[in-house]
Amino acid sequence: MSTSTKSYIEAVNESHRQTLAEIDDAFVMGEDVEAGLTGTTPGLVAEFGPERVRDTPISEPAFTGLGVGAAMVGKRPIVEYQINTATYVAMDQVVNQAAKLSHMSDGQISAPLTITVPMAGAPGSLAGQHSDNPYPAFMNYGVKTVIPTTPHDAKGLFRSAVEEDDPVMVFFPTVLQSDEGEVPDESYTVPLGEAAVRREGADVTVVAVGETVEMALEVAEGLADEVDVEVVDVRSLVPLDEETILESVEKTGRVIVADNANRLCGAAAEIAARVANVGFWSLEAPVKRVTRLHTVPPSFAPPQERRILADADTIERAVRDLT
Amino acid sequence: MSQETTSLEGYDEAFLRELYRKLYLVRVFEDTVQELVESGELFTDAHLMQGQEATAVGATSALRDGDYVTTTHRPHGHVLGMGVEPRRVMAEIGGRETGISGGRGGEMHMFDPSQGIVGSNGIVGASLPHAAGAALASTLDGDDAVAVAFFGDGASNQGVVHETMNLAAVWELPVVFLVENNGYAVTLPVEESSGPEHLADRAAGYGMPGRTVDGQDVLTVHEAVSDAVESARAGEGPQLVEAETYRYLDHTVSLTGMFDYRPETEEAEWRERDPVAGFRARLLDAGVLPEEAVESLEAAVDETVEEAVAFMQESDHPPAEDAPNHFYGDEEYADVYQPRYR
Repeated sequence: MSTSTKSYIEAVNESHRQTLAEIDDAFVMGEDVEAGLTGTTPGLVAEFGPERVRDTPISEPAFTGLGVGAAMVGKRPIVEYQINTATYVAMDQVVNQAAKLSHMSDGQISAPLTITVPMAGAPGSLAGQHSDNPYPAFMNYGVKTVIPTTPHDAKGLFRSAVEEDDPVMVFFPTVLQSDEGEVPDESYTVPLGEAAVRREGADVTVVAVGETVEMALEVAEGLADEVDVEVVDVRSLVPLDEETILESVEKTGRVIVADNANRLCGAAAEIAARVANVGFWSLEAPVKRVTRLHTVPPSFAPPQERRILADADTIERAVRDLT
Repeated sequence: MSQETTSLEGYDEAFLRELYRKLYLVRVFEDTVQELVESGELFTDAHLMQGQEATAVGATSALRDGDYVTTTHRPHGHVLGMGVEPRRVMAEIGGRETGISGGRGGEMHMFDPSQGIVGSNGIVGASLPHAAGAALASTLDGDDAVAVAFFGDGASNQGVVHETMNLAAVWELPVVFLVENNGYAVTLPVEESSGPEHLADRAAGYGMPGRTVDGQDVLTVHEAVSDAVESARAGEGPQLVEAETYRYLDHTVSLTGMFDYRPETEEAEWRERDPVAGFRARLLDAGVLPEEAVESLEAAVDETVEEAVAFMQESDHPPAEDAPNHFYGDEEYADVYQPRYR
C-alpha cells in the first residue's frame, strides 16, 4: 500500500473525504464545516455538496439529536463539535439518548453516530471554558471513546468510528494536529479496543492517553541510559484494552498513568483502578497518575496554564520517583 | 380556536369505525393500566392519557407506512394508534420480556422501528430532534417519509425543542411538530410557563406554519395533522400543530389527588366534551353505525385488553443475567460483561 507524509489533521481530513466517498449513508454536520474551520473538512463541500457537508446553527443539542434520529433510521452521521466543551451542552443527547438506545430498545435500534472533537484539550490560552478533555464524563456512561495520537491512527480510528454500529466519540488533541507521519493513501481502519505499545521497556510502564504519549516517549528517550521505560498508547478508552496494559504491568511491575484530563474520576483513575485490581500481584510500587491539577481549569495566563496541565517534566519526575 | 366538531361527511364507514375502535381501545387500555397500578398488580407508576385520546388517534391516523413518530413519556395512545398490538404494550408496562422494548423501557420508553416508532422518551423534548433527524434521513434518501414529533406544553419550553424547530425550518425538513397542550406540566399551568396565547403562535418565530386546533375532536385533529403531513411531504418544510386537550388524571397515577392545582370544575367541563363518548354519540346520531355494531366492537376491544393483561401476567420478566445484553449494537465488545464485583 502506498503511503504519504501527512500531518495529523490532513490525515483526519483525508479520512473524512474517503469516508464520504465510500459510505453513502455518511454525512457531516457541525458548525462551520463547509468552511472547514477546524481542519477536518476543508474541500469537502465542493466535492460532496451541502447536503452531506452541513453547516449547523450553534445548537449542539439539536444537531446532535438530529444525528441520533438520522442514525436510528440507518444513516451514519458525523457530528462535529467545534469547541471541546460543546460536549456538555449536548450531554443529554449523547449519554442519555444515543448511548442508551440500543439497550433500552432491547437491541431494536442502535445509533451509528460519530461525534468528533477536533480541538480537544489545551494548551492554547483559551482559558477555562475552551480547554477541556471531557472524555472521562463519557467513559462513565460507557460511550465508545477513542483518542488517536498519530496521523496513522487518526485516519484509521476515525474510519472505525464511522463503521461502528454504536455512537463513538473521537477526540483529536489540539496539540497533535501539526504532527507529521506516514499515512497509507487508501482508506483503512484501526480497530477500537486495541492499545499500542509505542516503546518497549523493562523497568516502568507509562500508560499514556492522548498527547501524553508524545511526552512519555520524550521522557523515555531522555532517560534511556538510566531507566528502561515502556510506553503504552491507550488509543481507545472505551472499550479499553486491559490485556495489553496488564501484560506491560506484569513485565515492569511499576506503572504511571498519564492523561491530560482531570484527575478526579478521570480516565487515569479508571486505568489505575484496573491495574491495582487485576494487576495487583505484579506491582512493586504504588500506581501513580500524572494528570491535570486536581481539578483546576486551565488559566489564560501561560505560566498558570502550564502549571495546570500534565507535562513531560512531571512524567519524568514520576518515573524517577518510581524507579 | 373553534370547538365545532368536524363533519363526518366524506369519510367512509370503515375509517370512522376504526377511529372509534382506537379511541375506545386507548381509553379502556389506560383505564385498565390505572386499575392495575391502583391495585398494586403492577410494580410501576404510570403516565396515562385519558382525555387525550382524540389527539393521539387523530394524529396517528394521518400517517402511512414508512412514516415515523417520536413520542413522549405519555406514549401508550400513540403506540396503540400506530397499530402496535396492545398485548405487547401491556407487557412492556409490566416489564415483561414479551414487551415492545423487551421489558427494558417500561411504560415511558417504547420502541418499535418496524411500526415507525423511533422512540418514546422520558426526557421531555429530547425526542424532537430524533424526529427531525429521521426526516433529514428521509430527505437525504430522497424518499417522501414524514416524521411526527409528539410533545407536550411542558416540553415546549426545553431549549432543544426551540433549537430543533429552528433547524428543521432552516433545512425545510418534512417533520410535523405536534404539541399536545393538556394545560399542565405536571402541576404548572401553561399560562404560567409560556408567554404566547397559543403555543402554535411560536411557529412564526421559526418561520413555519402553525395552527391551534381542538384536540378533543378526532376528525379535527385528523384533518389538521393530515394537512400538515401532506404539506411536509410535498416539500413545504416543517409544520407546528397545537392540539388543545386535557388529561383527566394527574401527571401519574400515584400522584392522584395529591396537589391542588386545577380549578374544581375544570375536569367536569372537559369531560362534557369527552373525545371517546362524544365521537361515539356522533357516530350513532349520524347513523354511521348501529348501536349493536358499536357494542360488539367495544366488547371485542374489552376482550383484547383483557387478553393483553393475561398475556402480560403470563409473561416473564427478562432474565437477570441478560441485563447487559444489547448495551452495544456491536456485541463483540465485551466491556459490559463484567463480574458483579472485581
